[in-house]
Amino acid sequence: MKILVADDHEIIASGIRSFLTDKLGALEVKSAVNLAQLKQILAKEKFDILLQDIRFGNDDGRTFLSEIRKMHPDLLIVALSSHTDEFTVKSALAAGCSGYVSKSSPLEEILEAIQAITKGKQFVSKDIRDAMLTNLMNGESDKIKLTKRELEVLKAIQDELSTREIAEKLFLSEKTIEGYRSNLFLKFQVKNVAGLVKQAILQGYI
Amino acid sequence: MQKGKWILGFVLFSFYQITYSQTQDSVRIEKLFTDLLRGQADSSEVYMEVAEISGRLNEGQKINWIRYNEAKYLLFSGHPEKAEQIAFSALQSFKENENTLSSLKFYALLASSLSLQQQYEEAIRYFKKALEIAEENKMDLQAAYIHNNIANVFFSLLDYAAAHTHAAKSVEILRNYPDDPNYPSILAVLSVSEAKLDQFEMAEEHALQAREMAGKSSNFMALIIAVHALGEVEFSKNDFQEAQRYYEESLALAERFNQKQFVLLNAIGILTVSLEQKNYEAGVNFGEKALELAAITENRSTLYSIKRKLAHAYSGLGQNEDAFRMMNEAHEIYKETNKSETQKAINDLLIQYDTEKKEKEITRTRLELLAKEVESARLWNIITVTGILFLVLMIVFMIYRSVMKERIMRIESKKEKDMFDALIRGEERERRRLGHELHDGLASQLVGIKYRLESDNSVSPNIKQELLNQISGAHEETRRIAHNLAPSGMKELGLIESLRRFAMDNSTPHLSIEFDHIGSGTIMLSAEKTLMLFRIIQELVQNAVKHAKSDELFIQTSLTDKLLDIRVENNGVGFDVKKAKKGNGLTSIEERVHLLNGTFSIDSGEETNGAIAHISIYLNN
Repeated sequence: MKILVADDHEIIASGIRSFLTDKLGALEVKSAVNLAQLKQILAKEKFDILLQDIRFGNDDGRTFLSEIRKMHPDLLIVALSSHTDEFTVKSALAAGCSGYVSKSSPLEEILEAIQAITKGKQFVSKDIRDAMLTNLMNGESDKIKLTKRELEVLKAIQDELSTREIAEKLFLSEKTIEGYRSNLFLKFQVKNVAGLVKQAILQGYI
Repeated sequence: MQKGKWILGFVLFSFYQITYSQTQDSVRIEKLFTDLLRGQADSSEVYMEVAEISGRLNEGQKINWIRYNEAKYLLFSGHPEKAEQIAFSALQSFKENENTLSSLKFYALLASSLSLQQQYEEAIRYFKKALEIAEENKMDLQAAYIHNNIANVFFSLLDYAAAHTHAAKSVEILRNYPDDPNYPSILAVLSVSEAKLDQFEMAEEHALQAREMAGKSSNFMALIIAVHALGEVEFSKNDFQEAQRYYEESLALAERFNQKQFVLLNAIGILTVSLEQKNYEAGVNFGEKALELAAITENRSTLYSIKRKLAHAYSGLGQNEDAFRMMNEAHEIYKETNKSETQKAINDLLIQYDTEKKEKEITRTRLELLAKEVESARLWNIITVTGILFLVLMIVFMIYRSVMKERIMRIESKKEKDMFDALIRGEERERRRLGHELHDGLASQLVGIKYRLESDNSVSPNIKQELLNQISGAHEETRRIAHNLAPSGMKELGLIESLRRFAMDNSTPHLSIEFDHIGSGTIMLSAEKTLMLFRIIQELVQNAVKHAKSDELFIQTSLTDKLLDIRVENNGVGFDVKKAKKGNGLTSIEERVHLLNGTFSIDSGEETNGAIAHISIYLNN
């Protein structure tokens, strides 16, 4: 198996190189530190796997990977990045990466990624997977989120206090209380105080 | 031990001779270049004779004999980049017929020239290629020498464990060749690596053995290194007096045999131990000596560390002027090596400063001119008051004046806005620069260190895990700071998602930041304004954590029709809004919100917990 490591930091590239050589034994690992060198090496030799740093010096891996894939359709690409947000991961996968490994993850994950993608699967680092899952679960909850202060205002409205009375009670200006009230209307999608109190009771906030 | 020191000391000495069919021509060529290197021959004469011999040779012989010796000469005479070129093109010409023996020596040559140019990682790669060839062809001695060279490169990388591995391998092979002239020197190198790893007993044993062997065979080079190694052993044991004694002995030997690089090496050693013993006078003496020798080699990092130490020694003697001069010179070297980036940033700021100054100047002149115009217009009017057109002119004048006044006001406020804009832009640029520097520099360095530690099996698993956790923590923190300084993907993500990420990234077990957005539709704000708004919210959060000591924050945004509402609520210490308004950064926030055509208010009761900041922006496009 021939692997090419593309990272603009020699210290990272050599770390990965020596790790892979150590773990996988008979294989050839080379590295490239900029786009020109990467293209040059790929034009000369055939590689099985490319480990590509997403922020590659002044170049963004996502902008040139589709071109590289077109020229080397058999080349499997694993993105390597310290960015772990959903947007970057998605766009890297869309640009033709079969795997995405976070630089914060242990080196072992690079091995896992290589094993997975050579079997035709996709791979994403565990901490990214976990974060995405948490995101997904949070996004699904329909429950309206209220701040501490909103809850106080809501309870005062239910107690039939006027705007001025609420302001005095909470040591805030009437303008602020009005702002809270219209925000509550927005959140509960209601038009007046009666509707607000009704929805708040129905949804268990009071 | 500083970088650059070892490269001077060791890497060159085990440059070996590969025996290939020797002919009269090959022997002659080698002698010519050796004489040239020693300064015993004139270069034009040498090249003329070489050219003559060259006519009799085939391509392979030309490369193997002439180019090789020429490259070696260039390498030793301080032109490693030229040697590198020759070695590289020779290796390329071998590609087809794979002349392994020749490849081996050119690989070693290439590696040596790379390491002299301080491209250590690459040097190791090529030394390893040479090693492969040597092992395949069962060339034990060559393999041993290459191992030794690799060990020397690792010394330069300050990776003593790896240096030790290779030095040990080299010695292991050489045990079968006890008569090899390089054996005692290599043994001494092994001893130095052991001293660095605090294996004192082994180190001492090997150094003594090396000294004995070197003495018996009158191998002065090995003797110099062995005695130096003993110095290193004592230095590692913190026995500075003994260390100094050995360094001095080694230095005397080096001087006797005119081995300048070892005189330098030992002078640096004595300088270092002198400082440890607060013997500043000796420090200055040997430091100056080292400086003189190092100046010839032009090795920057060596010069830098000598100058810094010398500065230390001078200040110990109370010669502050000299100390200051040395420190300055060291700093100059440092700046030259780390030049471009900082210089560029300074230039940028200067240019920006100049432009702002000029703009201010121009606006002021324009205002003065306008005022003069107004003045002259008034004068002219007074003269014509007596005329029949008095009323008409008066009306004209009034209109004219009001137009002028408006113009002056407009210019005045535009001037302010422009200056403010420039200020924000300059600050933004500086943040971005810093953020990128942290991300590309420090964060990547940390990943590199982490990777290296992960594949290092010489550390016990417990300590390794603990270190890895600490590095990961530092890496996360660096990334967080860098991202706060230079938020990436703002354009693609938009304000809402950027804020969601900001809240998530900056929440810790001790600080909860919640984000919520109500409403749908896209927020039509330019990238520049989005970033400005993001910065304002960032600052509100920072203020709440820093000044109000809050640990619970809510950031809420809502979009209805074209009205964007942002609320930042915290549970920290409340304050009197009327009193606070002037002193802190709130005014600056208010100004910036005004630039965005929005309104800003903050509300907090003295006795209530926390505060609510409210920003309202009308999006007209």
